[in-house]
Amino acid sequence: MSANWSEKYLICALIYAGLTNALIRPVAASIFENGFVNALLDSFGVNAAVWFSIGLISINLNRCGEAVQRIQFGIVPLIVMIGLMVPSATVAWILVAVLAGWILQQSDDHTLRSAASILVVLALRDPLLSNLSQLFNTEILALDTWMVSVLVSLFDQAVYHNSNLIQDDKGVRLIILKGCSSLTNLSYAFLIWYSISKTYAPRLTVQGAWSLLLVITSIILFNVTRLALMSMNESNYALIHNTTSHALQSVLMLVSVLFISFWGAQCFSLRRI
Amino acid sequence: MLFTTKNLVLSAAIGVSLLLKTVTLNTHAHTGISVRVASPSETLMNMDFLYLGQHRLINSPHYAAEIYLHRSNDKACKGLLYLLPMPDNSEAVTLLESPPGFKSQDSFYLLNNSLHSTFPAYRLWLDRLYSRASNLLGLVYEDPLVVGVSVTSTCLEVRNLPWQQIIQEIRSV
Repeated sequence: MSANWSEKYLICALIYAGLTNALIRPVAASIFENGFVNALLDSFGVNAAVWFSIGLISINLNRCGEAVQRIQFGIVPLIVMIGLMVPSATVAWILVAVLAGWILQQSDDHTLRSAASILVVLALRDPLLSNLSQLFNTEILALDTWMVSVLVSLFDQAVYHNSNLIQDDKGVRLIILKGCSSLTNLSYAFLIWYSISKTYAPRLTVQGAWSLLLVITSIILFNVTRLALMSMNESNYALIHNTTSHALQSVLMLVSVLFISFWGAQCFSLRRI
Repeated sequence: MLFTTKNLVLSAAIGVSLLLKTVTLNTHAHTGISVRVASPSETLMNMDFLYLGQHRLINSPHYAAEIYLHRSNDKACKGLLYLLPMPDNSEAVTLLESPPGFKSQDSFYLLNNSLHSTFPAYRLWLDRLYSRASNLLGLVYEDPLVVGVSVTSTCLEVRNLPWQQIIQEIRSV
């Protein structure tokens, strides 16, 4: 029994070692640059969605009990362990995804498989998003800008868009940069939705599918409305772009995604509220 | 048994990987667009270009263009030259091609000694991949940097300037 326990300990330790390797740089940078208290308030330079999904991975690993003991150490965990010595966050994320893929292949326990599949989504989000935004940045920003210009033109006919610029006859009103794009927020929202769905409702239901659609729509609408308001005038821009307002928007977005996702996973019924 | 040879070896490997990570941790490495220090090019200044300083193209310190004025005797050839480092992606292309308050007559992009008429997103991605893979293997390979160039004069032949040397001067700061 104790040998099995140690096997579980090692698989879990390897998962957490991979996650630590991937996250240590932004966390350390946040603490060194801002001090511990400010870093804590800024969720250590890592989006709250990432910590949330790690929490749900831990819950799943804790729940799976003996399933993880049936997994035998093979060549894949050894390669992952050696690979984790490479000092690169991207390599660590890819290795975590490989380890999770290997666990998925090895186990048929649904709780362990849920933990592994959340791990795959978490690990691939960062390298995938980073490469997508490098290769297709122009197209991604142009789509956001088009949506903003459509919304603003409902109130102000003089506005038009040019690539990632919102303009009028007097000049540029707003430039939409990578950090303002809906894609980044969408990727975090999807991570939260997927983690909750896999943990609390492993099989996709109609309500679950609707909740995903609602999450996507609400994130895009929220971001486009925010950008449209900023492009209206300078006082709007100053108000929406300051740190407090930014934090408030992040909390609002997080709460709404959590609410919709838990509803989709049938953790509560709207009729009871 | 918890303390079997296999478990001890595996735990040691995990410990070493985390230790190596901590030792090689660089919290000041490039994590996106950053504020650049002004870096006038000697070569350009020796070629009748007067350095005017940095000019923010947006209302934040990111994307500040280095601006030069060509001191030509011919009035028609007087014009501004914008150099804009774009280390991450193509988001500032529109700022370079239509700089606020000026009309650009020509704009192009420089990446690793080659000149491109449009932003070389695919090439930058490949070069960055190569650079990171080389660095992981311990080989020193400079992080690729795209520098956008825009000019407001119609008759300046800026595409023929010694860009390799100019970019080196900009990067050396």
